[in-house]
Amino acid sequence: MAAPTHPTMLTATLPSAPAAAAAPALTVAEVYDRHAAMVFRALRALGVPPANLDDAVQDVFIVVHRRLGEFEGRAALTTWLFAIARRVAADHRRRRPAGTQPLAAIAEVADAGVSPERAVAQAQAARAVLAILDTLDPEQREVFVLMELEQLAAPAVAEIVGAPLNTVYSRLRLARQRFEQGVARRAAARAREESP
Amino acid sequence: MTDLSPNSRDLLAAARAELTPDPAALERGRRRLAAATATAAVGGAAAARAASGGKVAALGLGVAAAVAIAVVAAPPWTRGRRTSAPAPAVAPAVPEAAPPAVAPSAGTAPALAPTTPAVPAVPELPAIDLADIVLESPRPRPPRPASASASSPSAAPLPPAADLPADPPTTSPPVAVDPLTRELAHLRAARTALRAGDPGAAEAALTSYRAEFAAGQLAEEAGALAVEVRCAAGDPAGAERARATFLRRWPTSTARARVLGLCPGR
Repeated sequence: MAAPTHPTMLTATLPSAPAAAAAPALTVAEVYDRHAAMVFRALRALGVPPANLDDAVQDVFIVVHRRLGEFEGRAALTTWLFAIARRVAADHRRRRPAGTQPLAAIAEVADAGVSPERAVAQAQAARAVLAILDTLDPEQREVFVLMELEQLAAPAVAEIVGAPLNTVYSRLRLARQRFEQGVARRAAARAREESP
Repeated sequence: MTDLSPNSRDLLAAARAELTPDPAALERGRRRLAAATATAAVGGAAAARAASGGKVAALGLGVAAAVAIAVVAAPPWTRGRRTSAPAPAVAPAVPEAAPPAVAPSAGTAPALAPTTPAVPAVPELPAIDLADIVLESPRPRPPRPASASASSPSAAPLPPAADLPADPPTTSPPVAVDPLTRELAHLRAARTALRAGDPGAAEAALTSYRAEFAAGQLAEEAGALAVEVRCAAGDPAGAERARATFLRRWPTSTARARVLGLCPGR
């Protein structure tokens, strides 16, 4: 698995009208090729179950397909995509049948080049992270995922979630606390399992 | 602000790697998107014909696309206008991954040219359950073209509001529900009743839909649903009639295989 590019580097400044003619246009296919991995990952982290993931990704890019021409470019393209993904994820979470185990499966192991040991460790990490994220308040989860997992800057996150910057930081602080507690619980549980 | 511990950072890094999709998943999504956007273009054209007085209803994933627009209201950084498919011009960004490049289309539609199927050979897609799609609370939008829906949106009562998810709190003033939202509510009611094992209620919801939207944008989905309802009601003859009607009206529908597969053993 190649090291993912920092999303904040994916800024696609939309051209103003005169410049648009000179700039090569991006099609929805190209947007998909450049950003689909990020969308997949964010949707999973935002609570879309594996069984619904493909549908959710398609929902995001169908919206992109229909609205790309309206995108003004006042924000990064990635910010816009996250905003769409966030709402699609919320929709899919609402529709998750009761009793569905969101952690029942992890998306395909990402990279065949990863050693089996590392693949297992990554899968366990993903399960653990998703389990901890499930304990967070949805608003805290969004901020945590966008900032800690996707490495977005706070102002971009504020724009995506439609909250003041201070609120974003507050949610991040609380989410970090909860996440650390979850990690500590996980470590304690593993220690108990390993003790004779 | 307290930063995350190294343990937490390591855990997140490993999870991030795991949650990143593999090339097969990306390619699968790409193919689905290509098929969906191709169909959406067909749906858009059909909607235009309907708007100009024709009887062709937009459906398939074209409707899914329209519904998706309803699901995800325009973020503040999009313009208020609606366009169906002019070439979106976006300056290229640095790719996160490096999947096979796609040649930018020189045409006017957001193209997925290399894998976009020819229109008549619409690939069979998983059924999109329109009735499952959750709508955002309606927001003020630019007026739709006057004939985008051929029917009055105020003729019949909507199905129970309980079928729709609770809207998030909003301070926006209430606005009229647009026709597509109303169409979707009817079909959602029918689908919900069908799942609850009540084909009678499903039929009633479809009847209500037809009464309000004689040439609605979701007529094709309603037609497919009608076959399902007849099957569920134990009425194979009625299902066959509904199927024949559906296939006559939408012979190249993406739902064709689904409709043909209903009432197995008939």
